[in-house]
Amino acid sequence: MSAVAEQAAVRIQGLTVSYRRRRKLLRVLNDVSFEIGHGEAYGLVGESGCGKTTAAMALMRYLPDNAVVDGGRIMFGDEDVLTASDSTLRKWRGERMAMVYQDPGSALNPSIKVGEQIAEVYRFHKHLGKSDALAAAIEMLSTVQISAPDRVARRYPHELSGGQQQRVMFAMALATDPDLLVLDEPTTGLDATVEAEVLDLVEQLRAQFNTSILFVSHNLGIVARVCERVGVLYAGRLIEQGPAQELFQSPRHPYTLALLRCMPRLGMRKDTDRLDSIAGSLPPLGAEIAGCVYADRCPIARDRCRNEPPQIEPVNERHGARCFYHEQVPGIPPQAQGIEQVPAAAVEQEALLEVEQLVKAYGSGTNALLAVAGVDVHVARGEVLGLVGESGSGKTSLAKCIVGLIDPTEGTIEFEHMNVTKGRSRGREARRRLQMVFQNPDNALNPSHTVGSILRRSLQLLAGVRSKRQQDAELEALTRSVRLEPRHLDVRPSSLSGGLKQRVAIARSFAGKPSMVLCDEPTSALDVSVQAAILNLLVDLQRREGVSYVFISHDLAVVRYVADRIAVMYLGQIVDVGPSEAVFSAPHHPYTEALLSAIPTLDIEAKARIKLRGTLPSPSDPPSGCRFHTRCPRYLGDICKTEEPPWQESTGGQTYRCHIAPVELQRLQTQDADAADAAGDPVG
Amino acid sequence: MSTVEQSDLAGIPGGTAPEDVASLRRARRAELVRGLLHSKTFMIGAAMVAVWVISALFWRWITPYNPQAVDPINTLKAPSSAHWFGTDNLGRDVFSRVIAGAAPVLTVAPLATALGLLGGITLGLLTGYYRGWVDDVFSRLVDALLTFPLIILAVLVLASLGRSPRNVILVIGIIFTPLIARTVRSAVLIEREREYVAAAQLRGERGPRIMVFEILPNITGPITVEGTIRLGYAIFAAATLAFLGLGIQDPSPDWGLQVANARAYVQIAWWMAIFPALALSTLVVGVHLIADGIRRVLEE
Repeated sequence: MSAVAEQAAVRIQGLTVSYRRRRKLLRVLNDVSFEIGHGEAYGLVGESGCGKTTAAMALMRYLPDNAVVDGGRIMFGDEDVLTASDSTLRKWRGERMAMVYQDPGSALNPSIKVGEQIAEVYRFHKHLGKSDALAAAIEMLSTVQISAPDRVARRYPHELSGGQQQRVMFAMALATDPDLLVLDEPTTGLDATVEAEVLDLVEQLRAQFNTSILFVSHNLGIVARVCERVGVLYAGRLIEQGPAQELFQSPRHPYTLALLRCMPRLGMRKDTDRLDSIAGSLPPLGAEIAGCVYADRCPIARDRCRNEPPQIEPVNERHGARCFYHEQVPGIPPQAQGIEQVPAAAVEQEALLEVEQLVKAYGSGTNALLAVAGVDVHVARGEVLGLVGESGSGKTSLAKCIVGLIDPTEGTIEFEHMNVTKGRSRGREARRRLQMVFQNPDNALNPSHTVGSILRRSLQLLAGVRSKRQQDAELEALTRSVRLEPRHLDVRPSSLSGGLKQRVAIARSFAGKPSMVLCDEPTSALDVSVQAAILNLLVDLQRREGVSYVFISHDLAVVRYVADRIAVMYLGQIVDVGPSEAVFSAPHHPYTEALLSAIPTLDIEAKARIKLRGTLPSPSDPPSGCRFHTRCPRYLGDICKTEEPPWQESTGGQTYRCHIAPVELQRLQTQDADAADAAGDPVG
Repeated sequence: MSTVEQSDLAGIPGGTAPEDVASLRRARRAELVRGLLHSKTFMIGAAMVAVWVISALFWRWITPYNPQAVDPINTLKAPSSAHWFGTDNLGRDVFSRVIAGAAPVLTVAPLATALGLLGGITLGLLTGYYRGWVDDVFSRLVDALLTFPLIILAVLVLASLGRSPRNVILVIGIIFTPLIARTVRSAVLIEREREYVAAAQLRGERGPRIMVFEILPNITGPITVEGTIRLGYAIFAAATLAFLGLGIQDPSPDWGLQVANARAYVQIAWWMAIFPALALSTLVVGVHLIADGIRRVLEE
């Protein structure tokens, strides 16, 4: 690795790119320089709008038509990608450089069998004959760990799961054994367990192929896992660069530090810790900034930072930060320090929401798809229930039933002792008291209405505030409670950032003083720093108003932070439920165990991951016995196939659905964790 | 477009000044207008249509001759400096008749389109939002309607109702209704899945209000484009019906009617047919260019 500097596979020097938009040039990348060594994995991280995808696209010269390269070179070997002739470039793409995109579903041709799509690469670049190419394709499919590769090769992309599609993309990218592999958020659309599989694959392929990798991601945990070196982009500038572990452990740029502190780490709880967030906002695209791009948001900025652009200052020979005062960065206190958590309203014993044996089927007869297959949910007043599960687990269908957007097929829903099973026949009172915050604030706010009119209408309908004067007063209070400013009321949602939009959506759901709010992935469309602010807001509101949440998320760290109790769903059933800490510690359901081990963390000690076999079975034809038996890492034998597992009572009020008794499960799970620690120790 | 993000902690400045934010709304509209002004397609189309709109409004002052004035001495005269487009079989000035002919077509076609839009938007909103059996029945009906040659349908209806400009408007409007409804319906189907509709349902809004106040403002783009395209077809349809003798009657200077009259004289007096036909096609092409320009600017 020491020869990296002189023998880099790719050298990007002073790359500066602008986008032409309405006759104006907006700069998105400003003087970005970094190198990727042979066989090295370089991670490029940053929040949305920082220019990371532009950098990846520039590397392949796949920039959109309105992009203008203002300067810089991308040296690939001895040649500049930016000035190479089209025919050279065509040969390079695919042969020496390849790319894997975020959405494999749209990157594959839906009308060609996947085997042929991979074979095409061999025929075009390696000039293999038809049958040889297909054989090579099948072999490559087995290299990317697709089971039964010859069968999969004969399938069309839509017949494969998301994880399999992404493997096919890797197979295509690696078919020509390229020197450079660009991975642009390759796991972002995937579930946690699938993401873990794909990352495993990346690691394994790195050992097998001597390929340099540019790994673009917004997820710091993933980058920490996969990459040796990391560059952090902010507002089009590379603000810090260094070895992954060092950079994440002792960041030397205030932005990197702040970003790391925004992430809820496992073990953080709303009762004790408040999340850090970053004050201020990203400078608008194309803004002319005289000094440091981060100065406006930086806690240690001085006059010099506002007038003079800092260069990359070396921390040591491999680590540098674009900050004049990088030595002071480790001493920056956490921003949330000294801010008191709002004291919690007591969780009462009174049941607020009682869902009994809820079934939601789509379609009918033998083709019926059971999205929710007999679920009991109980939420007490003032309690936060975290609902966890991967896509297809039925959590969204369950949420829609509870909130009344769809009617359940069977079962009952009682809310504040009112029967609200049928969504449409709910009275105003039930609607007012039970509201929802949606996942994507872009979608959830009507783009044609101003923020003020959106909130006013909710006050009118939910809180029943009729008089204009009273509305004004309530509107002001509501706006203040979510920390929006009056000036935001006059604009339409499209001129607000994602975080502000989500505040509006939250304000709307709180308009009628609800006793329960369903939060459906409220932060998953947001950046890390914004996520922290929204979570803080949700926690504050919950505590101040004594509201209950049903909090749906695929991010276990987030759920663990906000939830008092957690329910884990798999294929339409709840398999594990109990107080957060009990669910998160052994013994827990084997599926929970797998989910937990799939989380990429910034911790250096590598843990042995529990891999799930196969893919999620179809909810229209669930496996017999225990629904998890086809993938269970702790599969016992025939009993799992034939008998539905009983609820087992574990310590601390947790129950789970499994044939393995708590004592035995505890022994198995702690034993494995110890073994993993022992294996990890000598390395660390 | 600049965005505003605010800190978690109150009091920390961030984002743009309030005046800035308030003006963004106007800026968006101004941006669309500017986009249209910069679009060559739109501007050429607008210029072509403008010529005919001016003709339709001011033909009394523009035309060199009375378009109805018969001149038995100068029949079937070829284009000359006295009669730029020649004269017809009754000695009427073709140039004057072409200019004046913009008026009937630009009355009938917009009214027919407006009628079609009114019906189409209503039907499209209802079927797209409620779906269910109403939607199924409607969709089958439209399919059935489309298998039938529309012009024959129009001919049949006009023959039984009687020929009058009012009936032409009615017939074209009614035929357009399901066609426009189909476009509106597909736009509604996309919008209704967006979460703001669910949010409106959750706060207890009724269906009609959701359709009109929540969904309709967000589908004005496709409706504008569809309406403009339909206007082009309406012009064409009105002319065709007049050509077939089912629309406006002689002595109106309607273009379709002029072409129909010219049919008998095509071999000796080409100018009688060609100029009204050209007028018609420039107007139709102009309207379509406008539609295309709007569509592209909206897509940007």
